[in-house]
Amino acid sequence: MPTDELRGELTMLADEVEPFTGDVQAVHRRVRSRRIITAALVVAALVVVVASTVAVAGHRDAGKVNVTGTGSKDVSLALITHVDAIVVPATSDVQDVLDASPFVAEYARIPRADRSSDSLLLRPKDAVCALQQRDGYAVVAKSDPSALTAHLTLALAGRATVYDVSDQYGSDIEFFMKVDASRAQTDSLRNALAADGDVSSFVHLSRNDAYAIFKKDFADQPALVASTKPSDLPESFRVILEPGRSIAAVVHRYANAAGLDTTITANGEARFHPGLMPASSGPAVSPCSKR
Amino acid sequence: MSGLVFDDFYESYFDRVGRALVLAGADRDQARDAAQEAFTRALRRWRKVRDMDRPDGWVYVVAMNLLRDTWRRTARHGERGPAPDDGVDNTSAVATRLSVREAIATLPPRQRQAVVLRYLADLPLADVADAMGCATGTVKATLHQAMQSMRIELDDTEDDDADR
Repeated sequence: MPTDELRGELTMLADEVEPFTGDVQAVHRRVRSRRIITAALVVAALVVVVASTVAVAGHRDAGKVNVTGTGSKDVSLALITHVDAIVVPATSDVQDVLDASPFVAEYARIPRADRSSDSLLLRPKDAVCALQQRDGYAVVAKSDPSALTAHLTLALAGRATVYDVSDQYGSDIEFFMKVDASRAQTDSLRNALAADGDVSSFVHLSRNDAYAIFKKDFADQPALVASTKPSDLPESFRVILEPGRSIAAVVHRYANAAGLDTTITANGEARFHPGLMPASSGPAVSPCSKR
Repeated sequence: MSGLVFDDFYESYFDRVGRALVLAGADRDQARDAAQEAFTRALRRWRKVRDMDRPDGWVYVVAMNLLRDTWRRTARHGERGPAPDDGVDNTSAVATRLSVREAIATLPPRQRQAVVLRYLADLPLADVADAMGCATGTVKATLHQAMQSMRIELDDTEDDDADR
């Protein structure tokens, strides 16, 4: 059979398949809600960086307190449990500023890591891309994170870039509801989390909270912000587990919760419900291609 | 294609992609989900996708990959992935069209996907290779195997070159 005939046969076969009716508005809705979700994924990826480095440092130092540099506030990444800002690049110049700043409690060096293959980074924060190029610092604020960011941004102008990650870093799991999840479904998950012995604490983020984060994350895309309403975005729960509890076990427990759309964990995994769609498919569009 | 509007693109291709996935062995739900997700990803990077030579090719590739992921996952959960259709009627002195249908249904999933992407979606070999995560040489070989087994099933005439 000639190839063209095969083509013809296939086309006829395809024509016999019952037609598919699409829903383009559903695609638009899904993209909007996922934009905010991937902003959270970026944070998850940052956590991976920190966590993997902690593992290495912990192994190497066998638990010893380790002051890695000459700076007075420079500590091992293993000692940092919370990050308010990321500063890139890590130079001695920058280090001097961090040491002198009254807003900095402590900081740790984050080694540059090539995460170009990290397919989770659909829409990366610039910080992640910057960290692929250069070492950076994870900085802990003394008190007010926004004062820290403001101060460092000024003090380091022209020498380094400061990324505020204070409001995003720190939960073990974030559960995103479907955008059209019902009130009852959201309440049901809230009650389940409140009663869950593995859960140490959790925060509920309303659509307005999500919108506030969204506006900040996409400040560079005013048209996108303007075309998005709080009602386009999903509610979510940020969950912190009791020490030593299994993230995977908790994720699994709620895998089939009604109204749940996506689960993001601190180890950088995302689960899209229903039908987990890992982001590994398709020709890659490099997350940091602008650089 | 820089003026291509996503909604129009979706309108033109959603049905086609869905049908292609069914031909590749998906059930209707799998086909709809994979197509919808692939278009979602296209919209997310629309500025890049719309400027490609074949925006639809990108969607076919992503959708086919998603379908394969779905199959892999369901296989892990003990359900069956795509199976050759049951009840193939081999007694037939039937029309060629039915024979192609039968022949395709008996192909292993990879060969089926390759055939659909290459000859129905009409993608270049390089895109098919992208979709299948292999080298173009492997695609050629896969298509060749598919043609061979189809020829056997079809008891048909001339070979056609897998590499057009």
